[in-house]
Amino acid sequence: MNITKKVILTPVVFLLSGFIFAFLDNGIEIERFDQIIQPIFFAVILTSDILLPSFRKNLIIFSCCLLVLMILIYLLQNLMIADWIGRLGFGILFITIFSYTPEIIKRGYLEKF
Amino acid sequence: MSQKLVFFLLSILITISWFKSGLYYGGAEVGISPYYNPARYLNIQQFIWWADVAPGTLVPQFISAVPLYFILSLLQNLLSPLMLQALVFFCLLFLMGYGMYLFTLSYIGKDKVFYAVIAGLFYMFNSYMLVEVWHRFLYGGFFLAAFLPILALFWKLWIQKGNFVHLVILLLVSLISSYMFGNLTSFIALWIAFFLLTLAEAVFPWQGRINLVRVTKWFVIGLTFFILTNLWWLIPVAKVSTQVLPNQHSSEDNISTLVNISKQTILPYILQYANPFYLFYTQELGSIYKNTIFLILPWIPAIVIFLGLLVVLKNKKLAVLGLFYLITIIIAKGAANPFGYPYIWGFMNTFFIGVIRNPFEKLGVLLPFFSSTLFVIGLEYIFLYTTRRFGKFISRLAICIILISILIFAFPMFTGRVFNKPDYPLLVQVPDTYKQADNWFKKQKDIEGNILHLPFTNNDVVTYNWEHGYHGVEVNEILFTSLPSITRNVGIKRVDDTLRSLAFIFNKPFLNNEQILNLLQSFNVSYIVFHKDMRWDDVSTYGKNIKLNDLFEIENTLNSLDFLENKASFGSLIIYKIKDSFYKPKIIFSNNYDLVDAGESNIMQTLTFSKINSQITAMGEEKDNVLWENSSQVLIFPRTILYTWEYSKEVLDSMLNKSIIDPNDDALPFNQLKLAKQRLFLHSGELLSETLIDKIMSANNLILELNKYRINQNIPPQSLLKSYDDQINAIFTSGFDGSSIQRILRSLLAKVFTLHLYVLERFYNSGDTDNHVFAKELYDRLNTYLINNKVLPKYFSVGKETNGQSQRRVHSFYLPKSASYELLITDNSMFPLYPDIISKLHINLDGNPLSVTPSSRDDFTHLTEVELDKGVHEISYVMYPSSNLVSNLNEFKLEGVSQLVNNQILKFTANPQVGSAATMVLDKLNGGDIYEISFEALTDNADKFYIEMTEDTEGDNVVDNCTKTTCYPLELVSTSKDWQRVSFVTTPLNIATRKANLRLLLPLNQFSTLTFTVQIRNLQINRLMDNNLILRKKLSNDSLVSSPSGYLTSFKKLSPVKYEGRIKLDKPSFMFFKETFNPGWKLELFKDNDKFKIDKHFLGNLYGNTYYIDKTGEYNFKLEFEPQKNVNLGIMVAGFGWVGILIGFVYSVLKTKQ
Repeated sequence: MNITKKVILTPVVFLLSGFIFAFLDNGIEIERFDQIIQPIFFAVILTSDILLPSFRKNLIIFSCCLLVLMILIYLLQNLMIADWIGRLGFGILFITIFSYTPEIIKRGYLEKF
Repeated sequence: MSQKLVFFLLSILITISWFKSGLYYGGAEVGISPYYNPARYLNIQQFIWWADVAPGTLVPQFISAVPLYFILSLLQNLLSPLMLQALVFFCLLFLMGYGMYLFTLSYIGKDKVFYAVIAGLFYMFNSYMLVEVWHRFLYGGFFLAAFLPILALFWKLWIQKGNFVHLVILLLVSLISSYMFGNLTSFIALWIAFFLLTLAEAVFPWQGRINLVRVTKWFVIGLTFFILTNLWWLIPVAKVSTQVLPNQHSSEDNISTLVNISKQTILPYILQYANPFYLFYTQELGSIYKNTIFLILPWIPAIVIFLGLLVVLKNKKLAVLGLFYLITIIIAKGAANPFGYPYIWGFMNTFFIGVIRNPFEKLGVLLPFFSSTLFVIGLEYIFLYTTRRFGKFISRLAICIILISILIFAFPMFTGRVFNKPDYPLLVQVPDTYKQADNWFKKQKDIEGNILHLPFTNNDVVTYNWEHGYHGVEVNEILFTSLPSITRNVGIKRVDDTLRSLAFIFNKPFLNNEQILNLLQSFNVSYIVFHKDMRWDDVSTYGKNIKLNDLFEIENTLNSLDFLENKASFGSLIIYKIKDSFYKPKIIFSNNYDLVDAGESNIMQTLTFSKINSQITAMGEEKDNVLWENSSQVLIFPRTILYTWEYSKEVLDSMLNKSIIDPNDDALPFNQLKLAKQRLFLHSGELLSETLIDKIMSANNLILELNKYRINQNIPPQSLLKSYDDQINAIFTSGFDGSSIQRILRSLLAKVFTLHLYVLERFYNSGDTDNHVFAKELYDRLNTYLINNKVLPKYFSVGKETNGQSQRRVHSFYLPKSASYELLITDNSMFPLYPDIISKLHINLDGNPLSVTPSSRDDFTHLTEVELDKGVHEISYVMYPSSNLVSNLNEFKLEGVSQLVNNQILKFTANPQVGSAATMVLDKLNGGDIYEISFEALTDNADKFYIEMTEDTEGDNVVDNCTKTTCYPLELVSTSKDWQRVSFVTTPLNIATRKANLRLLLPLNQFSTLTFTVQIRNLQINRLMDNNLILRKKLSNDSLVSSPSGYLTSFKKLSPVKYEGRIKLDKPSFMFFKETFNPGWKLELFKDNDKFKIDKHFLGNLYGNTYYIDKTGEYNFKLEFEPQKNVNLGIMVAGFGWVGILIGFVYSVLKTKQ
């Protein structure tokens, strides 16, 4: 993908996915600012998944780390923070793995992350 | 073969362990085990009308259980209930393991048998199966979990190869397992799995359009045959359940359940398949699950699964399973974050989706279904990796540790503890006396009618003191097979209200022999079985008013009734028979009855007014007045009761001003709404009501803004009025009707919108600009919304020239005909509490004052005779408090370290050792009463104070510090040095209550070393005038006793949904058919070759069917429940489906041979 395409696509993908993730998390009405932090984060992830595919492996590792951290914090009985970290980790993993879908459809599997 | 043996032996061992006690499992929602008497279950459930749950109820969804009951009924004579249940549980366990083994094998290849076996074991013993399937103890869940892998395997084979053999096997297996479709969500879960498997075949990897078309073709054919061959249960469920479901759960209920359940399906729980409610909150499987090691254990397989997920992405055949697993997590976690909102959106917009309001329970089985394969892939990866890095010994050790961790976590599966319910064990052994009693009934000749089981708790759950206990759905219709049993409520509000009378009439204060006989006859009761083995004082089952179940009282009553004979006793069961001369058959004829519109009255009030006559109620508007013309009297109870406030202009202005100045004054309606949101709806999951309150609060701000303009005599911008218009429209057009806010906060909303109307009215009267005209429009629109949504009555005006404020009780009546009616007021025994009551009532009829000349009768007062037109009318009176019921504080009995100071102040002291209380007896109460209790309190350190009101219908007066009885915790500002005003209104008393103990309580303060004191003065307890108004029209001076006007000359029950016989009518008559009212019950008469459809169908005796037959002479008749024909239609179409699939099968075989 050339630079011009990337420059054009980045805001488009970011904004569009931001709206979609905001709806998936909170619906149409956003009441508090903190409700859009996670959707923005997910929009950044999806944008980078699409525009920086080489970065995806790191994102998967990062999401797995978050999920492990979730387990540790859960075992330390801090459920609220565990949930917060868990949904972030799971969300990143979900988005990133599904960003491989075209490749999986094409080949049936991934050659490499 | 050896793999089969593994699952076979394991299933046998587990089954033996579960049943080693020699008892079987029952209780909870499934009731007594269906294995106790499957033939009886089969007899009942083959019809969608359950006549044996008298007086009859419509249950379409359980028709799908018929194949299972048919198979079990064949085995019934060979095996005991225990053996039957053990056999079924064994089969289910085996199918779970072996089915998943085969399914996994189809993915990972036949060279990996060991891993496929592990997948089967993981599927059997993961924490979802442990808690959500076996411990949850829902048979639908058992069957879905057991049959899902095998069904999915055959679907996968069908989609891959298009071989009809696979489809035929799939359909046969689905027929055997159709029990699971009793819950429609099983159907949804199954088809999510089928759809995903099809998707995998169609596009993962993409093999071109031809493959897509091929797979789509097989999918469509498979789906078509699946639906066709399942139409025998789908048609009745689709056609009838759609009428039943909305009455059971509203959309808001569904969303509330979803949101609250989703708090338990957050990622830290769902990724380990844990249901925190059972594992951690109630700890029903043992407190060990809160132990750190047990908190760690479920994460071991969870990590292996995620490892497997990453590994499979590089595997051509399996990559898609990883994607599906992630999708399944999203599906099963419901509305929990992330990506949880589409569920809520779907629930708001599609009522049907509400069936999956508990997604983890209903669809969560897809998690272990997809993850079992991922688990073994992860396991294999670990094995290979550790072998490479550390050698075989370490790798084997690692695998063993992982597998053992799963088995340790699932240890209750091996011990039988999986069914452990600490409060009510699931082990059941029905006492032999029940069999003996049932046999006794079987020996009686020509018995008919219904068996009434007492105590009747008007509940569907019961607790028995059997040797091993029993707690679950009441199942006397299964234990007593000769006649239908009236044993529990039937889930239809009108009928349950009427059945509730059976909970009252055998006990004081409603004890009345004539009334008892009348009700028994009305419900076609021929026998009573009195259960002395009922744990009648189980408050958690029956609610606080357990005294109504008092066995001693009920037995005394039964023994004193001269129309009953004590016929037999079997252990704790006593059988009474209604003497033949008093028994009335299932169908009777009468043309002497009361025409009753029961409205919102309680059943005992309706029966009291109707004395002992029959009652008929019109369903909807009656066109030709046939009911009116033939009735003895017309009794009309209010259909709606609304409470409104009449404020003077000064009070309204003051409230509006204060709302601006002091936004924290809790006495103001606008601020009360804010508090109500925080207390009732915030985080409760009732999102609709929460949103509606926000919108109303926005409208409040706009109306305050408009009021400012009005006061300053400025013209507001039109945008303000436009915004207000938008807000009001948004409130009343987005689900307000039926919402919780409408139900719970109706009277507060009446106050709030009275202020709105006042501001609008004052504004539009102050000028004639476009804005003023628009304000008038807004006033009219808001007023219409409020009337249509039953917030305010039709006849209501704001800002009256009244003094201060007063509350009105507005009764809305629907009158079937223009006539002169008597206006009556109930419960006149309370009148001595209200000095000058009649002059202060200020009765209004349709907004105009109505003068009354009261005259007292037995238990009501005749107020006046009034001419009223047909249609809706509103009659209201001013509610005002009674005189103070506490005339002297000396009446209180002091406990602990409480003191009476100067006869003026009650002083309560509490420290870590002792608390204090004061109790007084309130007698001569009236059931259903509400009271306003107010006082001034001075506190030192204490921030909570309690008022208990223990009614005589509740358990013995146990001093339990507000844990079991009706109790009102009151909050005090502990730092305040001033007297604080406290006031609250009690909930209505039970309608049987006549006496209560009022107890003021400051309990000992266990968590502080400080001494707490609370002083109370100016205590007022006032009964709120809450008596019903009733309209009555006497039409006949005949004695109010039903007289026969026709006869049954023959009567035959062909099935629970079809009756035939012959009748002889002396004159046009009303035929009472004592089965729960349902428009599906159709009556046809035959004479010679003529057929007459009787379409004048009414509600009889407030629960049953009544038909008006405008004929005389002899006729053959047929009574049939027509919706059962849907089942016959379904069976016929399903039959065609089976023929079709067989043709396809034969064609496919022939084609293969060619």
